[in-house]
Amino acid sequence: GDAAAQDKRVRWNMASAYGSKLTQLGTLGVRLSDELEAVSGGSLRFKFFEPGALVPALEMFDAISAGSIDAGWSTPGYWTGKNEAFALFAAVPFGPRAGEYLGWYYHGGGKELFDELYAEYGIKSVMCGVIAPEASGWFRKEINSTDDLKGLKMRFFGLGAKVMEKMGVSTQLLAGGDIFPALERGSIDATEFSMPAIDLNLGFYQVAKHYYFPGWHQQSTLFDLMMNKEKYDALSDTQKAQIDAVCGANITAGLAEGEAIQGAALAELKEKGVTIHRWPPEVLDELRGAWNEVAAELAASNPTFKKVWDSLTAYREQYKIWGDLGYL
Amino acid sequence: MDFYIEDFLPLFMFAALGILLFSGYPVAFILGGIGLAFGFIGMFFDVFSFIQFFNIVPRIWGGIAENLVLTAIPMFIFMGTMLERSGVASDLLHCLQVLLRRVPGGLALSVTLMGTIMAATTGIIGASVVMMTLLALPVMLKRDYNVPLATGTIAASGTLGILIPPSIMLVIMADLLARSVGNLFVAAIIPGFMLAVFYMLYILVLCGFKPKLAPPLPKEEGPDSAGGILLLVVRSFIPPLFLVFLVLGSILFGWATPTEAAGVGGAGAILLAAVNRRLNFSVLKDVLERSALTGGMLFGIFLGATCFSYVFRALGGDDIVIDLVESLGLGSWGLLLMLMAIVFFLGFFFDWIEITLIVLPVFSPIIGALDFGNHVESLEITYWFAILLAVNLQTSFLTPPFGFALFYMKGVAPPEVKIQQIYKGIIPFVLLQLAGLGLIMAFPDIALWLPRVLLN
Amino acid sequence: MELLIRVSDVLDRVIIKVGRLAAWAGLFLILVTIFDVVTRRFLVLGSTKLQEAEWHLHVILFAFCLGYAYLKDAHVRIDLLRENLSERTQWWIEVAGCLLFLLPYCGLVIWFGIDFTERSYATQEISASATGLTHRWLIKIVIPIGFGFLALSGITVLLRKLIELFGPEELRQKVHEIEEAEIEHLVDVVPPELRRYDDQRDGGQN
Ligand code: NA
Ligand code: NA
Repeated sequence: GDAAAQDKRVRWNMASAYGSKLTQLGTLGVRLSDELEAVSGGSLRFKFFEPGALVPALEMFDAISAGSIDAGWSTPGYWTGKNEAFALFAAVPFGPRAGEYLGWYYHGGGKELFDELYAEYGIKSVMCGVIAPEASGWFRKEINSTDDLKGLKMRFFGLGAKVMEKMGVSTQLLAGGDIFPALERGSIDATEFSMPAIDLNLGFYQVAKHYYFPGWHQQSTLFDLMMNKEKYDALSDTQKAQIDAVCGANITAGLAEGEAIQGAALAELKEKGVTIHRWPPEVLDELRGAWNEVAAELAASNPTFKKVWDSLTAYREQYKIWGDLGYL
Repeated sequence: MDFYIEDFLPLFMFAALGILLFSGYPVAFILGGIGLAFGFIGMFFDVFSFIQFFNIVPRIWGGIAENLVLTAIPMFIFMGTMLERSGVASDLLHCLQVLLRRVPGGLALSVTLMGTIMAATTGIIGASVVMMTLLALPVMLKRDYNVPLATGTIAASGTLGILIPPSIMLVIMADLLARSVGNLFVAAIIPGFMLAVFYMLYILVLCGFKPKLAPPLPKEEGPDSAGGILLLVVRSFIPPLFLVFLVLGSILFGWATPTEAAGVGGAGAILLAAVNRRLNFSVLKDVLERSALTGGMLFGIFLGATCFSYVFRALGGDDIVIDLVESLGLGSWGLLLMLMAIVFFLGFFFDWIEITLIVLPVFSPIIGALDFGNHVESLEITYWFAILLAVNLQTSFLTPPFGFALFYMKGVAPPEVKIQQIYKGIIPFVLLQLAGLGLIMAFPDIALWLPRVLLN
Repeated sequence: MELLIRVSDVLDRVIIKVGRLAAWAGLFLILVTIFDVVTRRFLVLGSTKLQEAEWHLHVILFAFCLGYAYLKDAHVRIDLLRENLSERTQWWIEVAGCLLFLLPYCGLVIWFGIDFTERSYATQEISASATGLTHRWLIKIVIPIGFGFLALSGITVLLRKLIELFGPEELRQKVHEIEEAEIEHLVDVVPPELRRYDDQRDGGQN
């Protein structure tokens, strides 16, 4: 009632890193925008902009920091160019599942490190979504051992790419428009993409028939609402609380939906002739070993990464006993 | 309803562009300058702030600079310039003309065919129009072709590239629709080739009735004996054919991505010039410098256009368009036709990507949920709509007075070729494309049949 | 006035030198692409760095050629009405265009482009693709520099137009000659004996 009525009406532009129609990745951003307006009685209006409408998706960081865009819907994993530590707040190879991850974030010191990191760039960010594990990727040929990985040309982005390079994979960047034709014609042998429900719509099964699980590089992916810090600080306490509440609900919504929709998608992919594989344990072990090397290298070269990595590792060590005992 | 002038600033941007374009100052800087000016006007009305100009730089950076797809443009321009400078292109076209001596408009037909092949290797209109102009226009002019017919043929076949896969436009559309790129690629094949066939039929009929527009080769020119013709073919036809095979083949055999195929083409053009013994340092330097100037011209327009369309959007231009359509309260066919008309109009001013960003996310779910009865199956409406949009966007590159393809062409054409001739030349081809658009609307299977057969 | 000519000549030479040098990036772009395509078949190098090098070269190529293209009059103009205007009016349009459009536009991109580069430098930004190239600011700064050269070419043109508008006859003539000599047509001009056709055919047939 009264408190909300006094709040200054906020009319912000919110850039999205994902198209509004993209299952989960985009739809959760639209949901965020709608819910903010509903919950605040119209005092918070964050207008959703398609990627590229204001600035290209990967450029929103600088724009929000400069204040030329007010807010952005994205994942911290996109900002590893600014600081590799951001990756640890998005998806960690061989990292925790959503429950364990959120435990670290809210109660294990994650949030404080997160705020500290973003504050350096004049950005306030609120964790605002989590989705199901990704698939490991689409391969044109079956992979039976790590030897089969050697020499493979694979489109891969982010920290996982470093791991892949250690396995002898030739990682490709590729123009966005080239991924599909390149995979179809065999200029690349494989690509990582997203989760089954998304990959189904995008039609990767039409050009590669082998679909691998689990997505060791992304066991769960976190999404956040970035805001220009100066503008955020000027919001009323009520408005800040509304943002926190809506983001909390968005996390629940994303988690629930992500778990609910994969089964049907996988069934449909199978029907379309996709062969679904699980990585053999020894491949996963080797990948894990490579990731530990990469993490150690990053921790040695980047103090911020080390700080966050240590915090996460310590949390996971004390969690382990509960994780082993508590679940079936 | 209150009237606020600041709500209509985006419309004034159209007007300002329409008028100032004809001042004769470079289009690239007019686009940038108008964007800037309206940003300041927006600041005056308190609907824009100075810091919002910052976004222009990340837009340039992420959209134009750090953009791997666009690296194909300078390489294709180089390929075109090198083929032109080394005489390979004119040899090829001469040979085609000899072979097609008895076919009306033989050279124009060859150009259309070349444009169609080129379309299968790139999806960037700037690259294909510039390359086609470099290759074919000088030869056509030397052969006394009617200027509007020559420019129209080149511009129209040059823009086929955005429809015939691979096409970056279809990829971005698929992304915005969260649908399969493969389906869109396959759906675009028949409409793309259908247009190419339309162009050829038109040229055949027109030149059959008015041979003066496309003078056939004089009888005394070129070899007459079968042996002479064979020699000509071997000399001038095989090398460029080899290049086409190299470029297309590198994609089809999975050696190179479509973007990289441009590099294969560039390297191949150097090789052909060397084989023709026309390669030396000064030729290479000259070709590089001319390609750089052409690239500067092309990217100048890209840069100006991103500034213009950003300010348009920041001032609420998208909302004007969306409100306009929604306020009309049209039925399914009315809405579809209205959208097509609006896209056609927007094409005068904007790059396809900006139009796609305005129209596709908002209207594709609305169109997708509409009922077209037995005309289109509801699951396929989205693909059908995307293809209609793609054909329409291709058309709007050509529509006078603001077709971007026409600018690219004007940028590289000899100064004797006037913009009014280019405008005039495009009219029949635009009509053909509209006919194509109408056909796909009337017979959705033109787009939907092939994916149904191939992919399900 | 003599001084204006000298200044514009120096600027002219610098901008064109830079443009011509940058033009070679086009060749390197092709070579890097071919190298990537060929080695990918046989070796495991990882293409991310090469593919990033490709767009780095593309940035150098277009950014440094914007001003070069303006001096060579390669930027597209819609000359529909222009031809009917007197030379003096055309000069005034060029002056107004430089002052109202080109220079402010460059100023803005340079201003925010430097800000943009500074952000990259301050964070020691590297490629967002973890296996890509480092030192992103080095390539980001090319954009404001390129627009800087574009602005300088605008100043060159502005100075020349001022001389043509207000200078003594002999200097006007001199500037005019310089300008004519600079124009470079991207396609070889149609031979004079064929030029009649574009007027004749077009006018004649209707
Ligand atoms: Na194409
Ligand atoms: Na147009």
